[in-house]
Amino acid sequence: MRSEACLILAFVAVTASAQYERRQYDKLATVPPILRRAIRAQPTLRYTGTTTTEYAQGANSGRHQEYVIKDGPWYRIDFPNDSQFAGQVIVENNEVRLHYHPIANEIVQEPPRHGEAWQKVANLANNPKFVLSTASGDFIAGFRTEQLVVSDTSGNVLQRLFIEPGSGVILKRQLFDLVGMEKGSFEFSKIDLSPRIDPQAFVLKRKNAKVIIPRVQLERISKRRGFQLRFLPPASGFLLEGTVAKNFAGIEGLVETYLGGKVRLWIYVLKAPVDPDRLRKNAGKNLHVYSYESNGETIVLMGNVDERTLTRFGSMIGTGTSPLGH
Amino acid sequence: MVNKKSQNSGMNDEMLDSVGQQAVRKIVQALPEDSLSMAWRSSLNERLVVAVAQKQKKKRMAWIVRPALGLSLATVFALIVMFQPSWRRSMATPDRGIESAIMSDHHNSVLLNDVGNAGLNANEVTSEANPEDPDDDMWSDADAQSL
Repeated sequence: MRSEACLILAFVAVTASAQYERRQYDKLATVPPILRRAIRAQPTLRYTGTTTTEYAQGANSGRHQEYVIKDGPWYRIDFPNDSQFAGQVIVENNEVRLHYHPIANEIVQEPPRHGEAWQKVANLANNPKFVLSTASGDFIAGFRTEQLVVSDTSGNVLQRLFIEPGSGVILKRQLFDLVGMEKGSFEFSKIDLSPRIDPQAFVLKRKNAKVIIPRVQLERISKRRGFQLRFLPPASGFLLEGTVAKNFAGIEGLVETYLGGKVRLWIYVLKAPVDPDRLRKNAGKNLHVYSYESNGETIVLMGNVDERTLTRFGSMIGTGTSPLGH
Repeated sequence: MVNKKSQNSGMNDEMLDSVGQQAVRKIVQALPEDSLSMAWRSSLNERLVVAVAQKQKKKRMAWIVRPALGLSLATVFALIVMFQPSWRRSMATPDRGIESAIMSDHHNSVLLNDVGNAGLNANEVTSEANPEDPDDDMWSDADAQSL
């Protein structure tokens, strides 16, 4: 009797799994073959290469180089010796992201996130707001590419992806603003698609290095900047990814970034009141905002999550004065 | 005891029959006797009736006006709380550009996450995100190479 029940359960599980695979397959059935190739190749791609990332938005702009090693789900990222990030090493797989900081001799253990960027590429396939078309692409890092052009329904180009058709690797990606100016990009300047990769590349060995979690970073920055310790507990389904202190029009603030699966959430803590209506007005349609004041600080929650959920999260934000390292 | 009482009453009788007491008695008996006028009583009643009527009228007015006044004040207060006139808001949070600075930072962060793939994100690119307390005991690559 027990073995029959097990058989039935196994059959149901296999059928459900097959249905899920079928749905995923169907989702990609109508997208241009070159995008389908890129999405399907992503989990098993192997390469080593050098990329340049650039962004420019308003007064903020930046450019940096990264040395990337990818072996299926594993990534390793290093930086050139003349880079401001020299010595830092990032290792990531499907479960964890470890970021080594040489100055403090610490390894910060964060939630993984390369899946987030891939999810956005995959979302292009099924969003009716986007129109996908293909064209021949440039030679990039010595490889011929095919170009996937993402436009809005009026024909304004939003993104260009340059994909190497043999492997499916995206060699270049450009993002444009509403009037066609490039606002961000990444591009391979070198790539080896048949590399010899030492598995030790994905192991961080530093005997006296401290391994810390983002919560400890948050505690440190909060204490140093004179903020109360405020955090969204993991029970919310979101994990703290990192914290940074910034100035907003002369007002001191903290920015906490959270990841919940493929969804990202931001919490801004400021030492001055803000106007919620003005924030909402600037946020647009897809971004939701909820703010409140507590003990002389303003807390702003922001993300592609409905305002009711943000309000619920607002009531979950804890405060504490636990000492560092606890 | 009985003798003391009879002695006291004898003394009181003597005092009442004294010359001074007799004079006072004559003056009091000579006073004219007042009789209450019916006309005065009637006018008093009329004035009382008018006064009572006025008092009741005021009471009725107060019964209507007081709740109405309270209700009006509560309505005005509720309107202020609900709609928050613009002067109040602008006094509370003058536009110092904080909101636009927050949104600009957010857009920048989203952009870097989009183009950065598995690489550095907006927090990591900001130098303040990096730990600031150096470990003085640590050997760097440069130290190792200089040996």
